[in-house]
Amino acid sequence: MQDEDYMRQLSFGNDSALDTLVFRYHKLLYGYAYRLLQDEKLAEDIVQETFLKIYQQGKKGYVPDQFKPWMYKIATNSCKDYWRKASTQREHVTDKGEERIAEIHSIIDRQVERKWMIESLNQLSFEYRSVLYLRFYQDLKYAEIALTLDIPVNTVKGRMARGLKYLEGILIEDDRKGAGANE
Amino acid sequence: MSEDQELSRLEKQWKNRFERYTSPEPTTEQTFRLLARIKETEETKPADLRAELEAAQSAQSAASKLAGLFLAQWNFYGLRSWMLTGIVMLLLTVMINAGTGSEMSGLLAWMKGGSLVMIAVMGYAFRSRNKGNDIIEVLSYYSLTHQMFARFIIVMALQVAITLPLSFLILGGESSVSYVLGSFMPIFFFGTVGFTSAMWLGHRAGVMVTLFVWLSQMLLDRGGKTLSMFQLPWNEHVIGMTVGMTGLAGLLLGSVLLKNNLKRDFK
Repeated sequence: MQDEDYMRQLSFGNDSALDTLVFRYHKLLYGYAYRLLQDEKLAEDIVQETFLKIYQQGKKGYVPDQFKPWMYKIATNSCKDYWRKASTQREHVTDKGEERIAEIHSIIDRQVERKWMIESLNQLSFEYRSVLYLRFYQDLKYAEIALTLDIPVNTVKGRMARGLKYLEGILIEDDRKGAGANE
Repeated sequence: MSEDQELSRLEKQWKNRFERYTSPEPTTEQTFRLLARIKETEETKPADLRAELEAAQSAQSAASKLAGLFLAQWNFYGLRSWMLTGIVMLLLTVMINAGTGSEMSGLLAWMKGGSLVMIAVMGYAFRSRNKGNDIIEVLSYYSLTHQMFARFIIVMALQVAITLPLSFLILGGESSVSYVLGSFMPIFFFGTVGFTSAMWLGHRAGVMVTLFVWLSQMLLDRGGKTLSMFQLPWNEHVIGMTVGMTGLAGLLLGSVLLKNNLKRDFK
């Protein structure tokens, strides 16, 4: 059964439809919120808030045309609300200087490379990160990302290409710094 | 290579790297606990917050509802955004006037440029913005028509505040109420066209239609001067054109009202 069918079930008062949706998307949604917020507790709160809104809307009889983009839109907006309330939104992480260079210098195991990936991604603005996360981790199609973020499909493609180019730039720059440190 | 192929190539190239950014995964027990929490929250929720908000806002006076509507629209884009809009309007208006020679051609250029600035600002002010759930909750109390109309009024008020003092400078000794009104009418008219077409056709199509009307007026201005909306205050057709524009603007605004009523009746 499709997600939208479960929402319809929910609108008919069948609460167990929520169980299916939660089991289907808990991990995925948690991963999305965690990558955006980088805090396990906050990610949990955002996930709970998102599913609660889905539950409430479903009980009111609302059935979205496409469930996934709608769900990610609620989660994205909840993250934005959090940043706005806490005034902790940082579009760019400041340069962490020597410490980071030293870490990247020793990219040998997966853990360090994971850290590099996180730091590199954090240097991108939210606009790029959200598109990349929705594509690579949530496996959303470009049209679905466009619906989630309320932007045209071409903008999604543009942000995708530019985001990856920026990441490539960061990689080259870090490699250059790493090579310099070896000399 | 097409854009899609290039994107697909880039995606393949980056897939492995992205996979390294793993995230913790909730266990099945955590999912069960989450479900229990959601249902518990919903059951123990004291009241429907949305209904409470609506009830509180319904209890407000008409004046405070109106103030709330304008405040919500102002806050939605933020003071900086509106101030920047005003500054751009002011700069462009001054530049248009400064770039022309005689008083007569200066006034005409100012009217044309001012109305074009109006179209651009309407397009900018009517853009959609996604700024989180909280503000959407606040705004959703008001209908889209009300919100758009509030933005239209804010833009018009900004334009009046900027162009009124400037018009006295531009018109100099010739200034009078009818002159100021006559020179402001095209700006008001294009603002109304922008608002109405955005309400009927959506934001982008609205801007395109308004630009089309503006360009057709530029062409008419070159050909048959009598049909042009850009009439100098001392022209013989200025009163007729001003009345025509006011009537047309009234009809257009009425059509939005009609659309709104029809929609409500349909619901």
